Amino acid sequence: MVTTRQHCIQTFGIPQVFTLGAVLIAGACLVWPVRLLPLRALNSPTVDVMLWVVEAVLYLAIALLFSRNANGAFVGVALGFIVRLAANALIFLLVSIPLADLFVFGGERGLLHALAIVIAMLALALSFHHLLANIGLPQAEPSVKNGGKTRVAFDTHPKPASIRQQAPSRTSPGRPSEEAGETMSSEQGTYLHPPADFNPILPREDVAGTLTIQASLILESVPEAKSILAPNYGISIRLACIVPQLPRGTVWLSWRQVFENGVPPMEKVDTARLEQQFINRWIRLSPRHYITQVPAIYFEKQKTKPAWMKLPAFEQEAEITFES
Amino acid sequence: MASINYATKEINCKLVYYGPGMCGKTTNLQIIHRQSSGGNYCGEMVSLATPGERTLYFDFLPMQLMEVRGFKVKFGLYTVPGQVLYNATRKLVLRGADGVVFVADSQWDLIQENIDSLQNLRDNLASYDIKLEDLPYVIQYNKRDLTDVAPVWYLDYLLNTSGVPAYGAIALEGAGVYETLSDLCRYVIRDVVNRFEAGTI
Repeated sequence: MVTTRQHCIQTFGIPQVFTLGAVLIAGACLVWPVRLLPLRALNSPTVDVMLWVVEAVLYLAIALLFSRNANGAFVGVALGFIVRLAANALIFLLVSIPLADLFVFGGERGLLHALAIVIAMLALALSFHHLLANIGLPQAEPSVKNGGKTRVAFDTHPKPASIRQQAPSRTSPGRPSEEAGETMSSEQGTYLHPPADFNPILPREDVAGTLTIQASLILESVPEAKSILAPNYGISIRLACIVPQLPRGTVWLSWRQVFENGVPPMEKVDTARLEQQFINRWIRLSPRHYITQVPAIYFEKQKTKPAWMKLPAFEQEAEITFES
Repeated sequence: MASINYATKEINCKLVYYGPGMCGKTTNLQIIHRQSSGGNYCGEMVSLATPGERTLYFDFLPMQLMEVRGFKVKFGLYTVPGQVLYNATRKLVLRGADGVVFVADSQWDLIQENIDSLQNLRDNLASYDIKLEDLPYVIQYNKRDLTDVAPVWYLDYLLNTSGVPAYGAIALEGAGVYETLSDLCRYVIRDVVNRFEAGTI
């Protein structure tokens, strides 16, 4: 819960508040020019209802554009109406129209309503798009889905691994699946997801550029996506999503972070529709696939030597030798 | 913490080889023990392992080096079991350590295990109110002879956050094993001498 709240604060911060303020001020400045426009008579209740529906559809379209899921769309519509009514109230106060007329579209009010709707749409697009884009993203608390329908709560406490006594090998096959609960493969009917203590990090806004990986690496995490991804596709990923996770070694990306602009279209396949089933999936990238493409500057760290390294040598130090 | 026996004029120090499972901690001790069979500074190695050569409790190798200011310096070399399951044992072995060798497995597939193990080392030391940076420690990047290994600069970026001495090693062949041990011994003795002079031992 704390993580979710922090996440919302990060997606709607001071820059977004400034943008929202600027949109409202710009809208307020347009009140008087709008009042000079020729008035239209919109006194029919049917027209009123239709306008409300059109307004809701507009908010829905904008919210869907950014969130690409139903939850985000509904939140977007709710936010749109809240901002629109707030803007409307401000406009009515500015031009001395009673607030009781807030829900009536007729006459001059219709144009002022339209102005408020434009303000709300701009606010959704400019101030709330980060918030909408993050609604429905998988959060830190993991859950394992199977079969795409039933949700099963995942035990966050790692279970003791069974001791397998086998001949030692210098090349180990990778992480044991019992360790972090993150290597549940789709072949076992469950999805790959980050470890229990994974804390999603937002993309860094000061990092530009992209790196390219083979789609086959994405298919390792989401094998079912082979219907919409050819393994030899080159997929561009924003460095801004990779850089904040560099100290972790393994990078975890949500599907939406990888395919911000949708999956590259395939011939004769409705990729946009099929992509929806993978929208909440996670993709794990081993550092071996990206470190050569990350500029060296992002690996620079300030290291402070510990005090014990600065102690003076003692007299017989040179005598320390282990040759037999 | 090192113990000083004024009666026998001995300083006993404890060095712990820490790292993820199968990274080569026991191999380090075996190489030191095997190659010192002609010398007189190593005692018998005690090893409690499963038939699959996984350390079950710990390995122990006693060593005696030189005299410092009239005191014989003795080292007890310990390894911990690397498997996630045995954290209580790791914590117990770590108690009273004077120095740590963190043995990292250089293979790409085991990067995450190394990070987790280093964090586990920090956590276990923290339970004794010790910060890793306050304890002499060095890092050994083992298995450098394998083909699928991460570059040393990248392992350094991930694991060596304080710029402590780090060594590439091929423990099976003995490469890097002595360099790691001798440097840690130097730093531990410097630390012990410093604390002895400051009167904190």
